[in-house]
Amino acid sequence: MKHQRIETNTTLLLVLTLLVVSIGGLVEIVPLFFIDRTIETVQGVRPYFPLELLGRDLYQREGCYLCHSQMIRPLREEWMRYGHYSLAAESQYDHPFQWGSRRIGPDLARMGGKYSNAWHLQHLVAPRSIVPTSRMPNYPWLKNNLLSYEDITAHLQALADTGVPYSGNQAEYEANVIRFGEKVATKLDISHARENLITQAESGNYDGDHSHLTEMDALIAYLQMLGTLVDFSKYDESYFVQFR
Amino acid sequence: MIDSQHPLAVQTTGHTWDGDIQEFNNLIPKYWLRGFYATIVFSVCYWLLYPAWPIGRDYTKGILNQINYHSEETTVRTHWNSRALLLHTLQEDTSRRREYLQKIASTPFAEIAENAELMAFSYALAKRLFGDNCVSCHDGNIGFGANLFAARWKEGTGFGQIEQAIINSHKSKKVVSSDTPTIPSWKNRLSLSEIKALTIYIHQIGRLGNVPP
Repeated sequence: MKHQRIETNTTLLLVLTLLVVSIGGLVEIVPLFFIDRTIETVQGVRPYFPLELLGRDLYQREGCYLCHSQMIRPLREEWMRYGHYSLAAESQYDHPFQWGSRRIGPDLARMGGKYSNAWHLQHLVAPRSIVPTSRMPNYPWLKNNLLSYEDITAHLQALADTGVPYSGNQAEYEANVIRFGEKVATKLDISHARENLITQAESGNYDGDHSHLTEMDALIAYLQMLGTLVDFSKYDESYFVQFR
Repeated sequence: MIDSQHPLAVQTTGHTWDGDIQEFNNLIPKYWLRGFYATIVFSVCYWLLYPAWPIGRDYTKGILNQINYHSEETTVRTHWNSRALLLHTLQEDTSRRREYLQKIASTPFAEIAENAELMAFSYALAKRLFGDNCVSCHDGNIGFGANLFAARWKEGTGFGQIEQAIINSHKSKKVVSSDTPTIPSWKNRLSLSEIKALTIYIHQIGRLGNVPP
């Protein structure tokens, strides 16, 4: 048809534009739904526990992804500085993933267990007290804000609806026990979300303050588990190569 | 639209806006058009050489099949694959760096300390590692960990003891005692040669009080 017709008919223009623009996404994304090896088969990866999940929400709320990436690429320089490259499997339960696109601050994909909880507390409240040349803003309110978690059960349920294996009934719980082990499975149970959250916050004491359950507790809990789920010493490197 | 009265003049698109506004229909410049065709040819070549098109539950791998890496005694040859490339780079690294790392891992501390060449390498390596991993807590102004710049090792503190301190998870004295042990276990993050290089470095800065020149 003549281009003039397309340019002068709004509906036609709209429909055809949408079609053309979708091609890129369809070609790049949809095939991955059908290619099994996109997500590596690896032990250890699990959904976030309730406290960690709220920490992750805070990470998004505060916009940490704007400066920090969470995707270590298979490049030698990154291998040396950050550790093992990120696997697709490690972010399979992320809705959405936090791969980021800039490194104004360092990559955080394997931040878990690198520094102490107290370090994170001080660094989040006042980055320049630890790294004088840091460009990171201060986040002091995290320490004072009480964590709001009334809807944690609904939150887990919503994620379960999208396919994250939180368990909502006995059958699902048992499937989780087989898949993740009992210790992990109990913490993925939707009906016990509140208890699990409170227990983890109390035993972890992430912000060093037992008296209140703060946003800082949640965020540090999240940061301290990043990249810790897969035990790479159990795998030969050539195993992961086969997935690509 | 062809203007039959002036066949050699630049033609217009044929449409008239607002009574008398018309648009020339100039040909696309040749250089641009050729460049465009070149990109099409390039992309076809690219599809042939590199992984490109999804097919069923798999994808085309491309014929550029030349990355080798070692896996359990055999050498595997695979299509172009960035993970394989990384593995190849790490395994085939015949650079002097790898040689030095191996030497540091296998040489006792006392001998390293006497070898100027190894010490130079060790120092450069440790300085970077210290900055990436240690200084966030072990700087004098921060106070989470011992200020390693003022450690003043007791007479007779050997490299071995410092090495053990790095390897074992260490508890910071400044935090609330109920802090969970999420303090670094460096054994999982650093290789033996890296830990040894750091041991020597930390021993040095403790004596000198600051970073060696």
